[in-house]
Amino acid sequence: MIDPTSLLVTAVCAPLVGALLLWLPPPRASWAAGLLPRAVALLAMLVSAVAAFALAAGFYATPGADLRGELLLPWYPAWGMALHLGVDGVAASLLALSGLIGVVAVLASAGISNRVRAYHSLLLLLMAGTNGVFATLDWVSFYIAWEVMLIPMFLLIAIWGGEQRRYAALKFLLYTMAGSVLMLVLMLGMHFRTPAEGVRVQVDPAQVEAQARPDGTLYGLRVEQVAPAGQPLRYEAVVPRSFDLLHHSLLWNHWRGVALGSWALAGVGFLVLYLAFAVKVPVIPFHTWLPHAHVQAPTAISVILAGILLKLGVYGFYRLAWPLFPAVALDWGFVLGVLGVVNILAAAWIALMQDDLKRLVAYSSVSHMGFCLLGLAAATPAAISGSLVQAVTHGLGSAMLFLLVGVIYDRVHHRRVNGFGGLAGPMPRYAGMFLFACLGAAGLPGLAGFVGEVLVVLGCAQSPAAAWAGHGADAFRWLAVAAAAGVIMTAAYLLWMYKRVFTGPVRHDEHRALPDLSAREWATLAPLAVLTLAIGVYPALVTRLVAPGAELLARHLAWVATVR
Amino acid sequence: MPASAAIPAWLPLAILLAPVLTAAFLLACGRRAGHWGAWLSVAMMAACFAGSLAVFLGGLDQGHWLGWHSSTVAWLAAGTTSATPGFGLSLGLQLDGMGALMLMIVTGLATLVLLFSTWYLHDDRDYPRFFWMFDFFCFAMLGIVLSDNLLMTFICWELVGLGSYFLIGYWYDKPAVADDTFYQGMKAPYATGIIESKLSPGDAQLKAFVMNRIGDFGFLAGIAITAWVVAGWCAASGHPATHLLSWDTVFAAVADGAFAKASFAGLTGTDLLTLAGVGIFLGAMGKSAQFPLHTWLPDAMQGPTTASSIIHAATMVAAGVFLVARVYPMLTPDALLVVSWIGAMTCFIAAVIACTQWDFKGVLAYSTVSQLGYMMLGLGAGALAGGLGAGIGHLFTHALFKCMLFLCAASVIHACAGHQDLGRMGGLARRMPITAGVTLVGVLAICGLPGFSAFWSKDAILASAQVAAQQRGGLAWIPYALGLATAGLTCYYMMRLWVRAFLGPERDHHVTHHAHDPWPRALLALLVLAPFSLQAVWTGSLNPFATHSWLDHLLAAPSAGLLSMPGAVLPSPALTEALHHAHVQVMIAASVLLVLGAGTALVVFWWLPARGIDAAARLRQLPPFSWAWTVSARLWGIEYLYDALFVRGLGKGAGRGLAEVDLGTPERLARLDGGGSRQTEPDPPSLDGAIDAGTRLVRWIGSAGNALQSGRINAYVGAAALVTAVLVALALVG
Repeated sequence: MIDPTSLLVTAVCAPLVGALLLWLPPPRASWAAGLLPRAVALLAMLVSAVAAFALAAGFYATPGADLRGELLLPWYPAWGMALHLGVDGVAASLLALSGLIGVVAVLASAGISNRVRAYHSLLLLLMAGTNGVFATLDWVSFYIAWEVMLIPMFLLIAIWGGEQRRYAALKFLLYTMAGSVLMLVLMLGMHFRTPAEGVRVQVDPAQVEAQARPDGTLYGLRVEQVAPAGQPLRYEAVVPRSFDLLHHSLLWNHWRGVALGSWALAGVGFLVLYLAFAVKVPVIPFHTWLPHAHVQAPTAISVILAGILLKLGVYGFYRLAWPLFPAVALDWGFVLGVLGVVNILAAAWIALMQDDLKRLVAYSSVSHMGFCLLGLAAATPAAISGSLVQAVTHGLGSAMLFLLVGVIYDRVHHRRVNGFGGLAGPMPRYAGMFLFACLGAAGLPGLAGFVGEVLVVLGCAQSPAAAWAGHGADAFRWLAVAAAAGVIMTAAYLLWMYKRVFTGPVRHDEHRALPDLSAREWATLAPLAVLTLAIGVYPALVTRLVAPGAELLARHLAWVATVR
Repeated sequence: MPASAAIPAWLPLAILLAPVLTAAFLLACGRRAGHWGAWLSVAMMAACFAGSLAVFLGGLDQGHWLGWHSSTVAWLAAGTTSATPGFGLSLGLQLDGMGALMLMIVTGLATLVLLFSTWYLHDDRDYPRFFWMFDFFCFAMLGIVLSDNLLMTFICWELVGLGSYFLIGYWYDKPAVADDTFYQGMKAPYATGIIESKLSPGDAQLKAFVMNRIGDFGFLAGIAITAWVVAGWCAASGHPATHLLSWDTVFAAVADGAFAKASFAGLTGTDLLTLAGVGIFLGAMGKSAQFPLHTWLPDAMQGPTTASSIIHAATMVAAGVFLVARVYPMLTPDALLVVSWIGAMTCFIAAVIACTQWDFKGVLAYSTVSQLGYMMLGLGAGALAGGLGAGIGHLFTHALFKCMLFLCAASVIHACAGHQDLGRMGGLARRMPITAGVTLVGVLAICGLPGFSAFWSKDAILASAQVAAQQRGGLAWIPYALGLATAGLTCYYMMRLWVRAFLGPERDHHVTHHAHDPWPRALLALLVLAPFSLQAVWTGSLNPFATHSWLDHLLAAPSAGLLSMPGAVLPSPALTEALHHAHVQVMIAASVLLVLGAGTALVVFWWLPARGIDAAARLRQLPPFSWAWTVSARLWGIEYLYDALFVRGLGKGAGRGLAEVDLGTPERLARLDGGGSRQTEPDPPSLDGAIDAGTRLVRWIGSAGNALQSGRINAYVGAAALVTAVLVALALVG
């Protein structure tokens, strides 16, 4: 058994090493231009994926909300700067998803023939960035990893994309930078406004119970039990000035008392983090970069975009926005829930009328990611679990859909829904896989998409978050009902598209002789399909990983609601 | 809660899993699974039937059926370890008398239909595909029957919908009927119904799935409300929440008044329970094709007729009725009132439409909708009026005779080389006498001739409806009246169907001259089913006026807490008296209506035409009848309304509007995607357009502030760095 720290470091560094290797001047052999970069990229991603799956398997074997694989390297101690790696079950499952998507993306890049080495190098750098985001627990390296993945993604779209690639790439870059620049400001501001001698804070017993070390320290801090006169026993700790996200999560109450202009810093901070991550999720109205980016990006990049990049937004909510400013998240819970439901319904409605297959699938992503926001806002263990399960399963499902769109685009060089018809005849296996992916996305029970949706809807119905926020106790139950209505629209737009593309007589004679799925295409689709079915039948494959973390957050929010 | 020890624990699970494993195997084999795949399915299903029979007999104890409950496995859990409200969702199997009988009926009918299909589809191009789809459907259907909780029922509920979706679209490459010259060529000028329908199998499967999803939305919302209330109850009462949605837990919570302590949407107590019950009933309305969600079922007839026979006639569409019976302890009197009104409207509306259908399967399809409405009418009468036993009784009798009628339809359509237009049939009784005879048995059964099964089961429904009307008074008489009127209409349209197809002269030599009875194994399926149309099988008595049945005892047993409410099936002595009076009145009324309805059909379609008078054509032009004909043939205008309101309006119209507000017009998108024409006039405002305008501003600032730098990206990075520096300075100072 390899220790979790090595696994974590391997998962993050393997793509980075691969990317750097590809920067070296290649040998002058003919295979060095095409085959070598592909082989290096595939190997690097396979190593990363295996490490990430081994890490996740540890959480499956012994579920828990504790942090594993921790690594603490002092960086600039005077400023409290340190590289802090470590994952909980949520990060581990997303890391495993990232590894899998990376392997699939390399396999799906076989069609790239232009500047193969640069392409794969950037792809690996991108994956190193995303893995870094999931692996880190300090804000500086989080921010660096966040920015690291930005530029490769920009270049991958801008160089290897479709006709209007520069417009789409620039839009992606501007949207994301607008969000992350403010996050940098917030990070520095919060760091330097923490008193140098530290802040004494009250600590959530749930955090102590779940994440304290055997030696009694929590996040490296000494936790004391104190009993103020006339009050029950409570935990307290002194939090130093640092960039550690876990330390910041203890300071939530401190920032509520610090003013920034006429607002509390907590409110401004939550807004900034919300914007930074809502762009990525994306939450309407910050979503319009997504359809353009998907339409212009090459297939493999769309797969990464939908499969992993959107999840970074959800993970940002889970790791930063909610833990750092839980009281604000509770105050705005209902509004955030409404935004989630708007995502679910409006994006589904828009998807109905999209003629470009990629744009349709892009809007389906926007719709499905609404469940993630709604679940977090509802703040019950079930809803937050559902939100995180949805993040993982949507990664599988949307990656599959984009791969499938790529399959037909490779053959006929267009993606217009109404430009097809009757493809099930010449390509029955392709049609079957497409239907499978559509049903998975439509939340059919027995496939992965159902698990997250049903957890969010049921968890939302029992949510006390509306009462915490001072709204009517019914508010989240209405949201649950509205979110449940999403099942109608999802089925409508996906299956209507399926009907127009695949059923009826073959409408264009040139489609009669289209070849069915190739072995390489099967290789990219099969792992995603198998996992989709396996998670749908046995959801514990994911819930055992994410539920402890989700439950800890839910308990923490409940505690915050009582002590604030 | 007595439980049967005579049932091996593995047997029901094996019955549930055998079909899905077979389906997976056949799917993996693909086209290699030729005829042996079909026979493998038949053998597997026959074994399942034998197992079901063993289960049924094992649980039987002096006419009662003892309960059976498997162990459960955790499936989804969240928050069960902490104080915050959480829940555990488990899976398990459970049977009562109703379930055990349903298990036998599903596997038995499936065996016969599979056997029939080995003949019916033997020269079809995609023959093996039918069998894995069918096996998958059976798995999901058995899951509904065996489920011990709401969530597993919902899961299997969606999966039967998927099975139905598969099979409706079995002939996936068939064009819309309106574009199909074969069908257009055979269409009679006055033809209405499926033949006229514009839907292709692809359209029909989509419509079925989406309409069902509308019902499932209500189902899911009802489950969410129930789960919330029951979780709260578990937390308050210390009841374990590990199997939150099991029937036992939910009914215990309901009985304990859990809903009285909760409130939602201004409703509390029984009103809230009504809301949850109506939500779940909405799911049943989708599957059981109840008005206003009934329109998908007639279009589902685009699938192979043998699939229709079991999915869209006997079992899946009856799952809604089964579900209502299952959650009966949850249904408040108000919820039952809703059930009875919906059921009555459905049975009447569909019966009126069936009167003018010219498609053999179309008549049967609307008749199915109508009969499902009957069952709901019966269930809606309430347990105290005997409605539960009546509704379930009709579910079982209808399953057998309607399955048989659809297999007869398959024989006729096969004999007529794919034609299903009644206008071209006629005189088939001479060419296929056995089919004609079996069909007649089915027709008499559904008409409710004394001695035939529906005479007993329909009578029970109408008697219960009458007693319920007496109890409720006022407007509650309308559902009863609609039910009674439907009895007459049913006799008319079913007799019309039989007379047009089998009696009279041969109308189109081309269509009917090859007709003959099916092969022996298909005939065997028909002949096995025929005796179940007899009343004696169901009541256990040769006296047609006997109203008690072994079924009542079977259902009344307090098995596993499912239907064990006091007086749930066997009414109290005082009500027995009222029911008895109602029975007598209903029997007389129904017999008169039978004579009137069937007699009219015989006169109009047989006696008068034999004398050279085309009475039907004349009636179609005679005012009061012509109006009724228009209403019926135009399907009450419901399809047109839905198309305008939901498909073109709320769906495509609103979707297009939102899309244009979001990303802009198709012209703008075409331009941004790299095609399209040059822009001549400004785009209408859109969200994405506004953001582009914003970025143009940033670009202007960036280029002004960094005039020395030419590269665009550098400009943005530089601008970002500058802005960051300023903001950091502000943050440090402020």
